[in-house]
Amino acid sequence: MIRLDGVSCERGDRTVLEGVSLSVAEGEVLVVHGGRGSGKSVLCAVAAARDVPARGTVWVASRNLGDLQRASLPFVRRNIGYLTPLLLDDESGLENVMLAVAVRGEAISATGLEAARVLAALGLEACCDRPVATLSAGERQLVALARALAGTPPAVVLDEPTAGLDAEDRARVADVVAATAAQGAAVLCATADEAFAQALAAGGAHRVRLSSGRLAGGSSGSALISLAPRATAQASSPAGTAGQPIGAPTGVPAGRARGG
Amino acid sequence: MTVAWALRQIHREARQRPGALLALGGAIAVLVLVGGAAALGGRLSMSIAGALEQNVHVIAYLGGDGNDVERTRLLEVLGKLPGVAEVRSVEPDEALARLQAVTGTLGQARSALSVEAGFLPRSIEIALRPGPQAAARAAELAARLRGVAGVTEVDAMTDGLERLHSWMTLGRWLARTALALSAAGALALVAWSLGRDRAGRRQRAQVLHLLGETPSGMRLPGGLGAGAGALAGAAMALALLAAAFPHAVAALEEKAGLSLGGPVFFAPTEIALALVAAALVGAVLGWLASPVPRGEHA
Repeated sequence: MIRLDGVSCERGDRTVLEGVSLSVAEGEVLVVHGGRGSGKSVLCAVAAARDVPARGTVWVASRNLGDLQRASLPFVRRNIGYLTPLLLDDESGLENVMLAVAVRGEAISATGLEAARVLAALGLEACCDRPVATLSAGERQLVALARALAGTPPAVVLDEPTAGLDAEDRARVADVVAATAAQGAAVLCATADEAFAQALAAGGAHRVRLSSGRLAGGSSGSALISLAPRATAQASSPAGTAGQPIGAPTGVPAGRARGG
Repeated sequence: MTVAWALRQIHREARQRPGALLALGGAIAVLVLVGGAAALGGRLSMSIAGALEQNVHVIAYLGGDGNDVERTRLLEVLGKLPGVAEVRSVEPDEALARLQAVTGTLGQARSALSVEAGFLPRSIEIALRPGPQAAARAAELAARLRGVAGVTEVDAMTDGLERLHSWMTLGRWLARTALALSAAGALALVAWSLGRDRAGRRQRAQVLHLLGETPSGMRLPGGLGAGAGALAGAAMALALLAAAFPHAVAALEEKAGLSLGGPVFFAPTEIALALVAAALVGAVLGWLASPVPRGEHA
């Protein structure tokens, strides 16, 4: 589970996120759709425990990150699949993906199998063994995505997963993301790609819009998006009222939601 | 990161960039080789000094006009001096017999064999107790004997020992200089091998940080790899020293005509300590040289 309560972030004197509250339960996909400079990347970094908010609390797997010691943060991070473009250029795609699984303490044989499985699912069998430096931008993006999804971490945070990908790859990514959620992961996906957001929503994902650091439509700039299990997905569809809890049975009390 | 994964990474690194690991192992090997050679050289010189100190003695040659009473009294006085192990009177016949024996074994100076009896003077031979101060005591005793009535000449058999001590002093300085130079060279080589591809390793640390690796986990492969390289280098150097040491001792005994009593190589515990120390030094240097993102130090 990923949950943000009233999260605000600043960069210098500029507020890039303001009072953002949302929640993604296990087995669900939440698409945060927004344009350039809307605060998606900061939101993802905060949700993935790679950045610390100025205000508000972040919960991952029922743990309040603000309560954790600094030394404990790596153990939380390794269980959140986070899409970041930074790769090891000299290593192969397979090695890059294996590394993410190995950091979690998996056996070497298991990491190899899992990395190969995810890369194959994203159509990268042919370039598994090539150094990342020799791959195209799209292939690098897929390797980075495979690294985030490998090992099916309990929480997955994807920042612009379709950047540099063609339509065929976007469709494949949508399938893999949905499959990851179906295996029990809570997936938070930030994208500016309208078509991809629609594709995910068509597959049952919930969708919210982020604009200028605020979840759109919130009366106070704060919207608690409490996502229901698939059975109640309808209640949390993009048509839901922004600024109010969407989907009752999410474990987030409505009163608290309204209170920001 | 598990140890197994760290070892795998070290193996990959060694295959991709063997130069760095070889340089590290080689630097430690040179350091151990020079340090070990200096330590063994020190042991050998102590053995040589010990062998020479066994034979420190002073010979006082007596004039022909001395009587037996005075000689006996001198023998008694000398025998009571501190540091004197044995005092004995050597008659001219015995001195001649010794001279003949020595010249016979050396196969030279046949003319000495025809020296007539009584040509050599009567003497007193004073053997000193072995020890590091034996040469100084012999010189002091010789100076005192020169002032004794009836003593015409005094020989203190300490030349070899004094020369050895001066050589040993020079040797110690040379060994220290060589050790300091090789240590500086080795450290420079180690720093180079650990500092290569700094940008690449920083990028790796950054990626590992993003993936949720702990600072210790980021440094584990660097520490283990450098420790293993240093251990291999030290083991190689000690093996070389072990192979060369008996030959060096045999050559020295033959050239110096001494029996050194079989000076021993490093004891197993000393070898184990040297290996552990080398591995630890390598591991610590490798650990410290492994970059960690700012603010994430272990």
